[in-house]
Amino acid sequence: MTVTKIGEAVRRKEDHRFITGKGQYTDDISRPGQAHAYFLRSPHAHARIRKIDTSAAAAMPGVVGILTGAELAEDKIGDLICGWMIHSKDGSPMKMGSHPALAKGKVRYVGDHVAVVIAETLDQAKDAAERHRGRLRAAAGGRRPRHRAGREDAAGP
Amino acid sequence: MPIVSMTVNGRAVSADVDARTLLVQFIRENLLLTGTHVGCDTSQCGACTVHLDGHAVKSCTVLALQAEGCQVTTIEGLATAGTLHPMQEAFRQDHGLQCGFCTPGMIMAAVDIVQRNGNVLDEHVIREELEGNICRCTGYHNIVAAIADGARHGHAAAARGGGMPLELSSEPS
Repeated sequence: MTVTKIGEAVRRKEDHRFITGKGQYTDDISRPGQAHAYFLRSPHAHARIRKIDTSAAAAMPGVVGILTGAELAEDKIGDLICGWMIHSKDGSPMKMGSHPALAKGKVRYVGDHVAVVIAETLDQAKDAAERHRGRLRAAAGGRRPRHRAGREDAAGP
Repeated sequence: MPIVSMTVNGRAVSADVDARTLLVQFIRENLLLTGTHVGCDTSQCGACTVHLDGHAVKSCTVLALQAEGCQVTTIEGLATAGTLHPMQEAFRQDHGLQCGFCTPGMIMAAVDIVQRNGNVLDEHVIREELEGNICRCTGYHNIVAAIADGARHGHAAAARGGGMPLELSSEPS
């Protein structure tokens, strides 16, 4: 056991692998038979999701499965949590909007995650997502709020 | 699929690749050298920085086929037989990293900065030269200090006659 003298700098133990490129970050992990996920994201800033038809994408080579907000709801999977909840002065829990892992009913920003394609290789997942983006975009149309000077039409929470 | 051949960290390599394969994918997935990282999807972060024929490039913006016949050096190719490159040692000494994700790209960029600007680096020059490398953890202060020290010590080592040369691309990994 090394004893560090008072006043001496305490060196980090983990640096060697990071400065030599031997870190094990999530994407560095490689296991036989592993699959890859690719997230399909909304090109719209604010839109209702009318319908997502995943059947054609699901049939593409290497695709293991495609998940959307509908599957999360079916499986009763909750939203992303807030890591540190606080209470109001009267003890009532804090108010916060919902953060689903995949958009439910509505997308709220360009890049909002709509679906995840899981396939044997990342390229296969991307191909399945991108080749059917047109179908998903059409389904994600719907009413968009119009911003007029000095007034915002909210499409609802 | 086309075959691509190149020398990576001193070793000749050759593989069948999809034409759209990026150099960073080739390095990480075909060669299993995962020290080079993919940090964005927009060529902004620099975590993918490697040396191509002696010059720093962002390997996410180079197709593997473009590196045909070239010498590639990755972070794994900097140290020789357990002895760190002065730039790597400087990052360790000066606490130039926290999570370490940007670090390989920073070190590869730093070695290139020294090659082009010399061993005595002004802080202003280092900060400008690092425009293509993003770090979310450190606030850059210790990275800049590490690069200045790494540049100085590389020079000192070389001046001692045969210490640590700045570029070790001819050494096998």
